[in-house]
Amino acid sequence: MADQIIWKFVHKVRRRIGGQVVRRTLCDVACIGLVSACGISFLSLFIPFYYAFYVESIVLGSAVLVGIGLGIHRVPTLEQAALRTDNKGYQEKITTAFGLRGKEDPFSMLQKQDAVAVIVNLSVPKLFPFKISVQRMLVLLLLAVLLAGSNLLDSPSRQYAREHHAVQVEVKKEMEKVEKVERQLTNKESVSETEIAKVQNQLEQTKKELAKVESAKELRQVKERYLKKMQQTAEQTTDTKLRKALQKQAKQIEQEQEEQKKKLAQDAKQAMEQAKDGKGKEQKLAYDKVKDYAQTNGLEELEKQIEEYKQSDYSEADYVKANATLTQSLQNADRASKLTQKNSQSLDNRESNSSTKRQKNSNSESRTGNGNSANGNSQGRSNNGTGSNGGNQSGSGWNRGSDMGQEGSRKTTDTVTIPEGTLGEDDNLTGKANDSGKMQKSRADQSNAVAGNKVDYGKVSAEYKQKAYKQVDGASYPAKLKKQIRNYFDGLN
Amino acid sequence: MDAVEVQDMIERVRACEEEIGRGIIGQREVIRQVLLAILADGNVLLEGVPGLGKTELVKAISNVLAMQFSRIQFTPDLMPSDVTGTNLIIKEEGNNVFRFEPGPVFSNIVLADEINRATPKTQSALLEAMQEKTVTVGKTTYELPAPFMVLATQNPIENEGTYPLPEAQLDRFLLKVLVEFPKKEELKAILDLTVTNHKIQLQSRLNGEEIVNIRRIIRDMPVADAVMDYALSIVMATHPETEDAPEITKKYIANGASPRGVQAIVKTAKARAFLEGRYNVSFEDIRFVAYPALRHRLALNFEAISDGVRADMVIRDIIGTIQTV
Repeated sequence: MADQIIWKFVHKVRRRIGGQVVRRTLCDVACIGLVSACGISFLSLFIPFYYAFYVESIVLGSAVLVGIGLGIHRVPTLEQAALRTDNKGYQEKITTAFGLRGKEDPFSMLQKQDAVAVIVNLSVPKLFPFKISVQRMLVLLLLAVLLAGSNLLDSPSRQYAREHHAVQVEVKKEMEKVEKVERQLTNKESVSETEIAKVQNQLEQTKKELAKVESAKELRQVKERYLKKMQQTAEQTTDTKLRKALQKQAKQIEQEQEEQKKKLAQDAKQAMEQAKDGKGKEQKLAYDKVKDYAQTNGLEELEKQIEEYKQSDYSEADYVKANATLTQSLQNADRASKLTQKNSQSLDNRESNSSTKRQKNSNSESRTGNGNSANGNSQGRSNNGTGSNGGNQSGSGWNRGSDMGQEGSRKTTDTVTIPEGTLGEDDNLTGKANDSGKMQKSRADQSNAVAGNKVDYGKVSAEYKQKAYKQVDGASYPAKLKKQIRNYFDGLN
Repeated sequence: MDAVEVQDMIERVRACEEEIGRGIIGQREVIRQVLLAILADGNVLLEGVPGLGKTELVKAISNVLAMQFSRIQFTPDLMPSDVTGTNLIIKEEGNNVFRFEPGPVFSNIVLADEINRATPKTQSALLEAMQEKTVTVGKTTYELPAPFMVLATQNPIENEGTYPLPEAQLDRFLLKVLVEFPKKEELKAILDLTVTNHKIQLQSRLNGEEIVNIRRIIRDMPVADAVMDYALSIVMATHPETEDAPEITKKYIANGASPRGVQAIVKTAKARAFLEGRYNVSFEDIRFVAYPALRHRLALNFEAISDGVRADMVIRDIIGTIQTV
C-alpha cells in the first residue's frame, strides 16, 4: 500500500516536472533558433540571399523540434523526480522510500510510513507550480518581433536577391526550352548531320550563355541572340517539322518579349502619371519603373533624364522632361510595333509561298546557288553603306548596307544573303571618328549572322528601323533632324 | 521493533544529550558529535587548547551513559603495558602463576588524555583496541568490554615534546572533534558553575546494553542510493590523483581519505538521522558529518600549510562542487 502511494506520487511529480522541463527547453532552444533566424535575416539585408526566409523558417522549425526532443530527453527519471521533491525540504524521505520498494523489514516499513505521512499532505501542483519566466517570454517576444520586423524591411540587397532569383527562374525556363528544341533535333533522319551539329552547337552556346546570366539585362540579350539564331536556323533547315518547331519557339519568345516590353511600358507610364501628384514613394516607383523600361529598351537619353529627375530630388522641371521623353519613346515603340506586326504578316505570307516552292523543288543545291548570286549584290551594297551607328548594331553590319543600297528596289518580302568570307571582318565595320580623329570600330554582335545564309529582308528592315528609332531617340540631335531621319526610315518600305 | 520503541530510544538519547549539556556549558556541537560517535560505534579525537573542558566532557558522558570509565594520562614515559595491562606473577594456593592484570584500556570509555604526548610505541598500543576491540598480551588476546570507545584529546598548539599521531592511528578515529573557545555568555555560565560550591549531579540515562542495542538499530537504517553516492563522491573528490578531482584537491591535498572515511561518514550520518528522529539519511546528514569524519583523514601538502589552508576549508569547497540532484 505504502509502495503504491509512493510510486504514484513520484510518477505524478515526474509528469509535472517533465512538462515544465520540456516547456523550458523548448523556450530556450526556440530563443536560440530565433537569434539564428534574426542573424540570417539581418545578414540578408546586406548580403543577397533569396532563400533567407526559407532558411529562417527551417532554422525555427528545427529549433522547435530540437527543443521538444531535448526537453523529452531531459525529463527526469523517477529517482530524480523523487530527489527533486526531497529538495523542497523533505530530507530524502521520498527518495529513500522509493528505493525501498518491496522491502518489508521493520526499519524499511517505518521509513516508508514516514514518507507516506509526508506525501499525503503534499500537493504536486503546489509543490511544482506552473511557472512562466517573464524574462524568457519577453526575450522570446522581442526576438519574434525583431525577426518579423527585419523580414518586413527591404534593402537593395534583398531587391537584388529577388531580381536575381527571378532571372534564375527565367533562365531555367529558357534552358528547358532550349533542351526541348535539342530533343526535337535528335532522331531526325531528314536533317543532315552537319545541320544538326550546327544547330546543336548553337544551342549549346546558348545554354552556356544562359548559365552565365546574372541579370535581367543579360538574360534579355541572350534571349534576343537565341531568338535570332532560331530564326536563322529555321530559315536554313530543310526539315519542315524542325523549322516549324523553331519558328514556333521563336514566335513564342518574340511574343513574350513584346508582352514584357509592353508591360514595362505600361508600368512606366502609369508610374509616371502617379508620380505627377504623388509623393516620395510614388516618385521612387516611377524612377524604378522608367529606369527599368529605359534599360530594357536601351533608351540612354530617357535613362539619363530619369536619373536627373531622381538626383534633382524629383523636381517638377525634370519630371516634365523625363515624361516628355518617355511619351516620345512610347509613341516610337508603338509605331515600331505596328510596323513589326505588318512585316510579320507579310513574312508569314512569304513563308507559305516559300514552303510551297520548297515542296516543288527538292534540289537544295540550286537554292544555295541563288543565294550566292544574291550574296554578290549584298556585298556591293555593303561598300556603299554610310550609316553612322551600324557597327554597333547586333549582327547588322551587312544588313544595313543592303538597306542603303537597295532602298528604291527592295521589297519587304525579299531576302538578303550574308556575304561569304566578309562577315566579321573589321573592314566591314563602320563607325565614327572620335575627338582624336581615330575611327572607333566595334565588332557587331554576329551571333545570328551565319555567312552565306538567307535572311528575310522585311524582318531585318523592321528590326533595323526599330534600332534606328531607338538610336535617334537616345541621341541629342535637333528635333528637325530627328524627324528627317525618322521619315527616311519610314520611307524604306 | 516498532515505531514506538524506536521513538522511545530516540527520546532517551536526546535526554542523554540534554543531561550532558547540563554539565558542560556551551559546546553543543561537540557534545552532539561525541554522542554521534558513541552511537556509531567509533572513537573520537578531541582537539582543543587546554582548559576547554575536554576531560570534563568525557567524564560527563561516562556519567550520563552509566558505563565504566578510565582515564590514561599520556606522557613520554608511558609504556604500552601501562595501557593494555600485563602478566603478573601471583602466588595462588602456594604456587606462583602468571595472571593477566588488565590495564586501564579494559573499560567502556577510555579517556586517552593528551595522546600525542606518548611515544608512537605506546600510542600504537591502542591501535588493536580501537579497531578490533581486543588486546593481545603475549600470546593471548583479550576482548574488551562492549561497548568500548576511546576518547582521546590532544593539544594543537603545544608541539614541544609531542609525537604527532601516525596516519594509521588517526584513521582509526571515527571523528576528530574540534573544541572551540566558548562564547562570552557561555564562559560566564562556566564561571558561575565552577567557582561556586554549586555542583551539578548528572543522572545516568542510558546503560551499555542499551547503547549496543541502539547501535544495532542504527546499522539497519536505510540509505538511499543517491545519498550513498553523494558520500562516495565526497570521499572520491578528496583524492588528487582522480581525473575529476576538484581544483582545490589537486592543489592542496597530498593524500585523500581512506575507505574508512566513507564508512565513518555513512555510519555517523545514520546516527545523526536517528538522533534527529528520522528513519533515513539525508544529504544534510552527510554534509554535517563530513567535516569531523574527514578533517583528520586528509593529508594536506606543503602548499596548503604555507597558504594557511585548513582541512575544513578544503572539505567545504569539495562539498560545494558536488551536486545532489
